[in-house]
Formats: sequence, structure tokens, C-alpha cells
Amino acid sequence: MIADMLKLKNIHIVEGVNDWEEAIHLSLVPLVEGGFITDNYEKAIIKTTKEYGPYYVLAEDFALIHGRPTDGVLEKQLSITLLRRPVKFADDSYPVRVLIALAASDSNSHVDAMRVLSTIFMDEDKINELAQAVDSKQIYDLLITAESNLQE
Amino acid sequence: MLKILAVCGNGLGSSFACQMTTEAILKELGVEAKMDHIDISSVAGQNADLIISGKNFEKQFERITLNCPAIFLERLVDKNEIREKLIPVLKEMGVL
Repeated sequence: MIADMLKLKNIHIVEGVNDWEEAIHLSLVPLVEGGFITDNYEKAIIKTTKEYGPYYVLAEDFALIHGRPTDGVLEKQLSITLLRRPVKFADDSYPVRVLIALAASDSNSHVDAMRVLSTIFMDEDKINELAQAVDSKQIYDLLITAESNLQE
Repeated sequence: MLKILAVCGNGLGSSFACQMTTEAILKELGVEAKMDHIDISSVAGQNADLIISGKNFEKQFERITLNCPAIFLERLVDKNEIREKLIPVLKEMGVL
């Protein structure tokens, strides 16, 4: 169940950020505060981004911010950050408003959450719906609904 | 059964996302395949019939000896791009 990995308090909406590093930082705050990752996770993601580019930007408006389990994951968890003003992670990358941060403890245990997220990142309309949400509760409900649609 | 590997840097986020999108296309095409996701440093020595990865990894793949075809995507979860690039390869393999 996605509810095992996502809590309402892990979802926040912010006006905008100064740069992509701040976007990464903000997206990970709920995971650090909840004790799901260590501070090193952010450093590792920023380092990998500088090396390989923004590997987590999956589609326009959608980034799945993640590092490796060994970069500092303590427990699997998701957080969602919605930026009212989009951020660009690289000059040749898409602007992004929906940032989903994933802490995965291994390569497969987050499969349920990924199934739900896949119904969103494969569908432009769903990404838009998420990007235009008015509050955290609406974002949370969108994901719970996406999961129940999946089970039907 | 056809074995397809989705490959990215970490082997758990982007490649998993790519796997799920590709699985949706395979289902649409009626092709049965077993898919998995893996990080690029573990890909050498893996047995696969086809590899799918991002354009940004194409250079790194040049250093790896592959004994199967590989598809490189601009966008890992773009159904149209995956469909467009996957169909000719599957036809060549005689799967479609």
C-alpha cells in the first residue's frame, strides 16, 4: 500500500526555489525529519546529478528524486513537494513542479508505491492534476485514489 | 521467455519507472516478457535479450560488451518513444 510509504505530513507545497539544489534539499526535508534518511542522502544525490545530469527527471513536471539505499536510507518512504514556480535541473531538462522524493531500502521493496506512481508519470493529465493541486490533502487523495483504481 | 533489462545509474528509481512503462507497452503489443531493473555497474555479465536505458548512459555502455541489442531513450517513461523504438527491435528479433 502506498499509505505505508506516504504520510500526509510528508507532502508540502512551496512557492518556489532559488535553484535545483534547494529543490533537492526541500524535497528531502520530510524524509530527514521523519528519520527515514540521513543527511548524506542529499549530498549523494547532488553529487550524482553533477556527474550524470538530472537522472530523476522522468517527464515534464515530474521528478523522482532518489539515491541509492547505501547513500543513507534508513527506512523506505516517500515525500512530495509541489513547487508553484517550476525549477529546471539543467539547461536541457524539463521544468518541474512535482518532486517526489523516494527513499528505497532495496531495488524492489517499493514496488507497490512505484506501481501507483507509474500511473501518474506515464500520464500527462495526471501529472498536471497533481501539479495544480490546491493543498497537501488533495495530493494525498490523488495518490490514494490512483492506488484504488489500480486494484479494481 | 524474452528477458528485458531496464538500466539506470542506481537501478531502483528511473530504471524501475522505465520498466513499468515498457511493461505497459509490451502488454499493449501482446508480447510476453520478463523484465527487471538494474544499475549500470551490474549490467555486464547479465543474460538478457534486450536492454533499455537512457540516452545519458549510452557512452557508458560503449565500454561494456553486450551480447544483445540495446535501446536508448530520451525519456524513460515516454510511452510513444518506447513504442517507436521497441517495435522495430522486437520485429527484428522475430517476436512481433
